[in-house]
Amino acid sequence: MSTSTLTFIAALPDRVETILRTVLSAAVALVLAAIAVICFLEVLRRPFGGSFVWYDEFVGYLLVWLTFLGAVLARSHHQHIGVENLLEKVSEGARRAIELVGHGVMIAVHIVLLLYGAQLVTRFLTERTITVDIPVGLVYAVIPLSAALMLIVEIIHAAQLLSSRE
Amino acid sequence: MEFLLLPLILVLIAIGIPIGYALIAAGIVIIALTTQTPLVVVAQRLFNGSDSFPMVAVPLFILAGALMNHAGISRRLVDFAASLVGFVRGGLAMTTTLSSMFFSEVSGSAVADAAALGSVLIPAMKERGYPARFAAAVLSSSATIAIIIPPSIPMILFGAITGTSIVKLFMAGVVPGILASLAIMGTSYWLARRGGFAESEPFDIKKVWTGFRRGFWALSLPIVILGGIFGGIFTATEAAAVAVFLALALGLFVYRGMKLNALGTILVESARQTAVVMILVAGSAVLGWYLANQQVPARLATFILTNVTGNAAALLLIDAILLAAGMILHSAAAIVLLVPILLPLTTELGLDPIHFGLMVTVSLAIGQQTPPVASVLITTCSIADVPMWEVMRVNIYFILALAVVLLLVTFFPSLSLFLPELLSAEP
Repeated sequence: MSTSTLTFIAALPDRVETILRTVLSAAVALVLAAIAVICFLEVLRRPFGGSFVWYDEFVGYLLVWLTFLGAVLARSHHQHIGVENLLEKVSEGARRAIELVGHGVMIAVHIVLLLYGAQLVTRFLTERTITVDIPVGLVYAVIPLSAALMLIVEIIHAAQLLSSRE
Repeated sequence: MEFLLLPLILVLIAIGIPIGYALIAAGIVIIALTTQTPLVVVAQRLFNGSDSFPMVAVPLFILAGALMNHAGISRRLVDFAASLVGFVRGGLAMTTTLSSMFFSEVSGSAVADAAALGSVLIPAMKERGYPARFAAAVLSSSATIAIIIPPSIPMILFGAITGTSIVKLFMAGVVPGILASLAIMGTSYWLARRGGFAESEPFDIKKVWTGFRRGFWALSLPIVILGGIFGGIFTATEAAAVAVFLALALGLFVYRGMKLNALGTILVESARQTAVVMILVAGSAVLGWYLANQQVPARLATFILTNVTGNAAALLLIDAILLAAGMILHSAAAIVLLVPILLPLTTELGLDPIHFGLMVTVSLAIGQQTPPVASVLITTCSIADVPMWEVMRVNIYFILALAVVLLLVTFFPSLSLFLPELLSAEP
């Protein structure tokens, strides 16, 4: 692949990542706000003897969605906890190679999660959750969905790494 | 095959894979290579590992802490603390520890404490002639005890995993938390005298009153939250939700330091921080499934019980394992991975799970401050703008002081169990 093609590929993803960040930010903000509001309303209802039957199951599901969508966003912002200072010691070329391997590992992991997550979804599509009447498979969908989004982020970052040569 | 697991995880982390994903990757490899189980179990464990009602308190306490910062509540807590202990030699160091105690009663996260208080107190300490490395060390050590004083995210995770009452864990943290604070204050005093930078302000009761009045609503926050939890009015998760709306109301209507349009940014930032912690929890759940599947916990319990004689030696060994884990793992990952492994052993030893929970929390508090993985120390070092190894030269004294607290907590269970037993004794 020529350098100009790589530059072209690297310029386009910037826009894709910006859009992805905007959409994901809105999504996680809504999910977190929903968790806070539902839990707070539950506290307010308590003295009147009322209680949402679906409350604890539902906020549990929201937490999973928050976790996996938020994880993609955090990865896009390089926010996850890891050890990066080890790579400062090695030469530029070696660091670049190691980082590429890292993207490779992340891509491999998320291909597994995409495929087997999809399997999980289809397997549980007919089953209904206990208190919220939705298919269990739909709740599980966050695993393959976030894996697909993470693949986009990883591929974009890998392409940026490749095109930043020189 | 399990012995390959740790080197594999360490290599993945060393090449820059985030810890949570290193755990997932190692889990996929080891499950694919050594078991007949289809890999769909990985996807399922990831989901189930983070699907937990008690853990919903994690994002809510993170959000409450972020709202407190924006509302200017942390600043008021610092002012009030300064009016109370500023007269002691090394007064700002004392203020740091005391503010961290107030603050930790809402935020539940040591990194949040370090970032919020550090940005106010480290520049102030530098200004008054404290060495930067001392300022960073005292802040890091003070913020670290946030996870011992309720509410505490590691305790929430411990309770969710072991099925132990989170309320009782919170109560159990009160006495060890105060002990740890006193240990840090004592060490600061000694270091400040020895270093000759021990300034102090005259004690002024008027300042205490002003600080109290200005910080009254801010101080009511921990009281409502802890009172609500301990009084059995709401669960830890619900207390966190109440904290969120109280902090929001204070910021919008009482202190007016907050703009409604900042809310979006606060929500997104809190959500990202939540994901960073929870992905560790989810990733650890995958490995935890594998280890349980291979009966590692039971085998480890048998191995230690047949090779280590005496309860005291076994307890020390548990502390050592936890400290070592705290050094190389983030506290959330260490809890989700290690607690299920160690639990059968502690049950055999006759340990109360609440007592074990406190041993875990105090060990990990120390681990948060020891390189290479030292989330709290890294945060404070970057605020103080000093290299970590230089801070470590001072911090080692604080770590030793906390190690003494760990030994006390380990060998005197009643320090932890006294308050929760008082609670359950009520009709």
